[in-house]
This record gives sequence, C-alpha cells and structure tokens, in this order.
Amino acid sequence: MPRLDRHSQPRHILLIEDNPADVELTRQCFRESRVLNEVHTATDGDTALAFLRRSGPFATVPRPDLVLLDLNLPGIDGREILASIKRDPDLQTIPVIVLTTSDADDDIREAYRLQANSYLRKPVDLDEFIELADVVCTYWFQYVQLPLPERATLLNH
Amino acid sequence: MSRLALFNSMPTAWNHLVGRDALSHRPQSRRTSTWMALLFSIGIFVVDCTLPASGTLAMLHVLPIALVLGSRRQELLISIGGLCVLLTIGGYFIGEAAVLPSEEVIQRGAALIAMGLMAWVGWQLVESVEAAQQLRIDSCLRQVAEDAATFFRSMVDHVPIGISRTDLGGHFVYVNEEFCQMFGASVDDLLGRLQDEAVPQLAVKSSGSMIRKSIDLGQPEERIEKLTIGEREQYMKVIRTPVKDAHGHVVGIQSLLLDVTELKQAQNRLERDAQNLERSNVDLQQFAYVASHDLQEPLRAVSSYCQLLEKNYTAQLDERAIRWLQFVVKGAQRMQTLVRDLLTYARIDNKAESWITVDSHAVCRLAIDNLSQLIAESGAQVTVGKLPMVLADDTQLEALFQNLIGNAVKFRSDRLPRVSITAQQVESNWLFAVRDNGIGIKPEFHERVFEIFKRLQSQEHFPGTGIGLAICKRIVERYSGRIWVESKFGQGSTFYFTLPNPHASTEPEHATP
Repeated sequence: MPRLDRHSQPRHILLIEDNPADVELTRQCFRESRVLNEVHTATDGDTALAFLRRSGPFATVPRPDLVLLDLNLPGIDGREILASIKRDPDLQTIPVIVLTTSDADDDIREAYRLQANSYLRKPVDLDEFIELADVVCTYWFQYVQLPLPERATLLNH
Repeated sequence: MSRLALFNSMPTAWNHLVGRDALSHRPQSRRTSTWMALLFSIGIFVVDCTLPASGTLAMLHVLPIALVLGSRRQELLISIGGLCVLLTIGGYFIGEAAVLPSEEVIQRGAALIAMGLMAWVGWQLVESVEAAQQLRIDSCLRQVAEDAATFFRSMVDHVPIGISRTDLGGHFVYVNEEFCQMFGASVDDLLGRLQDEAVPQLAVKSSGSMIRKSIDLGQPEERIEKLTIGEREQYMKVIRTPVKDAHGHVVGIQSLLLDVTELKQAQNRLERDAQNLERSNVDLQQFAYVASHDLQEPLRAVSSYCQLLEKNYTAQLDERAIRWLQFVVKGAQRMQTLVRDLLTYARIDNKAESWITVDSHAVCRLAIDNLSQLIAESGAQVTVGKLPMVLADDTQLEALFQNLIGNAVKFRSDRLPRVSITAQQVESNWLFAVRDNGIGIKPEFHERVFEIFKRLQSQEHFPGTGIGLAICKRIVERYSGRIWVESKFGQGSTFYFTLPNPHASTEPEHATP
C-alpha cells in the first residue's frame, strides 16, 4: 500500500489490550496502514495510565495521538481507564477508541456515556481488520483536527 | 348568610307546622285529645247552665276524663279532672240559683265522688295494661336478644379466628373456643388471667408501642407475628382493635388472630422461587455476555492467525496446507456466526417487555426494504395485503417478518418466487400468513423446522445456521402467539402466526376508509 503520510514522524498509538494474540494481530494490521504509526502496548490499566501520564519508567515516552482500548481487562477494567482519561484535563483531548469483541448494547451505551470517541468491534476477518486499521489511521491522523496538548499550547504562547 | 340559613330552615319549620315530622306525631295526637277534653268539659258546662240540673249531667264529665286517659299523662288527667269538678260546682251555682236543696247537693257530691273513682280506676287500668304490655315486650326482646346472643356466640366460637378481649390491665375478659384451641388452654384457664402470663407468645412487649398507639388513636392495628406454639412455628395475622364503652372511652383491646402459616409459607416459597428465577436470569445474561465476548475472542485469534499464515507464509506452504488453513478459517468463522445467532436467540427474552401498538404494515415494509438486495437478485414478487395494528415490539416484529420473508425467498424452487403477506382477524387475535411457492417442507419436518439450529438443506445449497425460525417461534410465543407451517413438499409453504389485537373486535387500520 502506498504511504499517505505527510509527516515524517510516526503517529503514536497506545493499545491497551491484555491478550497477546490480539496485541500481535492489532500491531500487524496497523503496520499495514498507509499512515506511518507506532503502536505502544499496555496490558493493564495501571500501566496504561502510567504511560499516558508519563510517570515512573514512562517518563520519556511520547504522548499518544490515539488510544485503542479493550473493555475487558484484568484489574482496572477498560471502562475505568476510559473514565480516568476523560476526567484528566491533560489527557481528555486524546481520542479514545474502544476496540473490543463485545457488541452488547449496554457496553456500547456505557462507552459513549463515558465519552469514548468511537466504539469499534474487532472484525472477524483479517482483511477487514487490516482495512479497519487503515481507515482509523486515515481518519484520525489525516482528516480529524485535534487541539494541541494543553501544556504545549502554553509553551507556544 | 342569615337569609340562607332561614331558607334552609324553612322546610323543617313547615314539616313541624303540618305535623309531617315523624317525631311530632305522638305529641300531636296527645294535644288533640287534650283540646277535645277541654271542649267537652266546657260544652257540658254550657248544657249544665241552661238545662235543669241533674246528676246525669255531672256524670257526662267522665267523658273528657276518659278522653285524656288516652294521653297517658297523669298531670293532664288530674288537671282535666279538677277542671271538671270546678265546672260541675260552678254549674250548680249558676244553673240553679239561690236554693240549695239537699237532694241536689247529695246528687252532685255523689257524681263528684263517682268521677274521682272513675278517674282513679281508669288510671289504674291504663297502668296495668301498659305494665302487662311492657312485660310482654320485655320478654320478647329478651328472647330475641338471647337468640341473637346464642347465634353470635356459636358463630364466634366456631369461626377459624381466635378472638379475645382484654381490659386495659391486660386481663382476659373474653376468649372464644378457637383462641383456646390455638394455645391449648380452656376458657376457664384464660378468663381473668393476665394475657402476658397465660399466653406469653402474645406478649405485648414486642408490639406494646403499637398497641399504645392503637389505643391513643383508637385505630385498629394489624400485623403478622411469628408465634411458637408448642413445637410448631406459626404465622398469625393479629388485628388489635381498641374496645370502647358507650362514652367512647377505650376500656380494652380486642384481638383477632388468624392462622396464616400456610399462606405465609406459600408466599415464602414464591419469593424464594422468584429470587432463584431472577438469579438464573442474571446468570443467563452473564452467559450471553460471556458468549458474545470471551467465546468469540479465541475464535477470532484462530481465524485471524490462520489468515496471517496464509497471507505471509504462502511461499513456505504447499497447496494442501493452504486448503487446510482455509478449512480452519471457515470453521472458526462459522462457529462465530453460530455463537452470535445463539446470542440473538438468547437476547429475545432479555429485552425488557415492551408491548406497544405497532403498525405491522409499516414494519413489514421495513423488513422487505432490508431484504431488497435478496429480493432483487432472485426476482421475487412480494405482495403485502392490509396488515393491522398489533401489540408487539417493533424491532422483534421486524426480525419476525424479515426471517419469514427472507426464508420464503431463499428457499425458492425453479419457479419465479412469489411471496404474499396477509392478515385476518381470528377471535381476539390477528392471524398472519406468509405464503410462498418455494421448495416446500416435508410433513415430518413441519414441527422440527422451528427447532434451534435445525437445518433441512445442505449448507452448500442454502447457507445459514438454522436459527431464523427458532427466533420467530420465540418472538411469537413471547407475545402469547402461536406459529406453525402448512406446506406441500415441492409446491410451497405458508407460515402462520398469531399476534394479540390491541383493540379486539375492530377492523384493521388499513381497511378502514
């Protein structure tokens, strides 16, 4: 696939997912996207929040441009992570996409109630998944206008 | 305001004047007899004054006395008698002037004595008659009262309700037989004893404040108490009512005890069953969720990684390995479809009850729109008759139509598929029919087509999981309806189902002009 990105820098995606098979699969699919991206992984809620807040061992990691969130996780579950992100003034502008197997109406409703930016069901078919990854990257990194992070805005002025 | 009051009081005043008031009836007759007695006395006095005197005239005064006897008032009798005596003496002086013949005096004197005697005898007579009457009435009343008392006592003793009365100090003043039986005591054991001692189970301390309140407010108090009587535990409905005397003062407590053990046990059983049912429903929802999420994840991993192998390692794999990988992928994907269908089936009942009046015509059109691609591809002719308003959930009704019409088109023969949807009223229900000219169903499968995952055709010819009709059946039965099929193999099938009519005995909405 031809690369579409006009940025030489890759876009950073934080994937919050505990299943190694799914992590690998998602990485594979996003690698095929036409938009240059780098997928970072957190396998539980605490790690994910530490990564996002760049605390502890994550002091030097980049601020993710997009979060892919599985709902069912061990320990702090996806809904709580989502709520924490949207409560945090530094993080709430980062788009969070729920990427999960569940198509239960309750889960969908709850996710949007907690201000998820999208709710996507993991496709069964590999090709569909690859296509979805490309659509997500194209949409969020090529078309959507997002504000600069609060701190960065302050620094610019 | 005062004018209004006057106006309101007028009818009462009028009734009083004409003596229509039931209460004024007796005084009225009494007054009449008094007036008549007075008129008589004066009349005799006038006659006495104008005619030659005689003892017989004086005797006529007995008449007014007899008249006032009817009034039954001693003071009236005495005053009329006195008046007659005065008039008789007056008549003597006015009628027979000056001379005083001794014969006349004796005559008049005798007449006076006779009058007095007459009045006395009359009075005694009335008194004795009244007394006898009173006696008879009293004995009758006593009999009635005794009969009534016996009747009520036998009733009260034999009702399956324990009844007791205590005074304010808590001593039994009355207990019925059922009450005694309940606590295995005799009437004599209980009467006069303190309730808390004789029947400690009913001890007032537990409900003392309630009783206090009940006495204060004069209101009955009702509660269900768990009593241990002997070895057994019994639930009693206890109704406590304050007993009041004629002046409205509370003088005691009446208790009614009703054994509700069986009722309470049945209620407990019912509550337990309801809890179990709720738990199993929650379990089922949990299961549905697990099926939708946890069960699908490994399946997706299997199929995705097989596809990744096929995609990225084509060079290293031979043709057979690739074919086998494709089988794995197909198997996993089919399993996923089955899980999702099962989930759809399980969720039909999960959905909260939503019986609304739905225009089945519009819903049917929607279902046909959803199937437009299939219909266009097959060249099927779908006709919809006049369909009524029904009580159902619109999304479920849509799924019902979509499954039935979809099947009708899908299981087509070599002929051009024709599907018709009609409805007619049968008693309080609407009977729908989805008719096709497809391949038809053999009679032995007419029942079994509605079983979950039951398929009659090969996956190759007619792909699908076989959940559609099972979903239809579950939806129809949810609305107390029935679904069945009539079919001739090779000629076509008609699926019938019934749905409740929101307003029985009305015409279909679309049929009305």
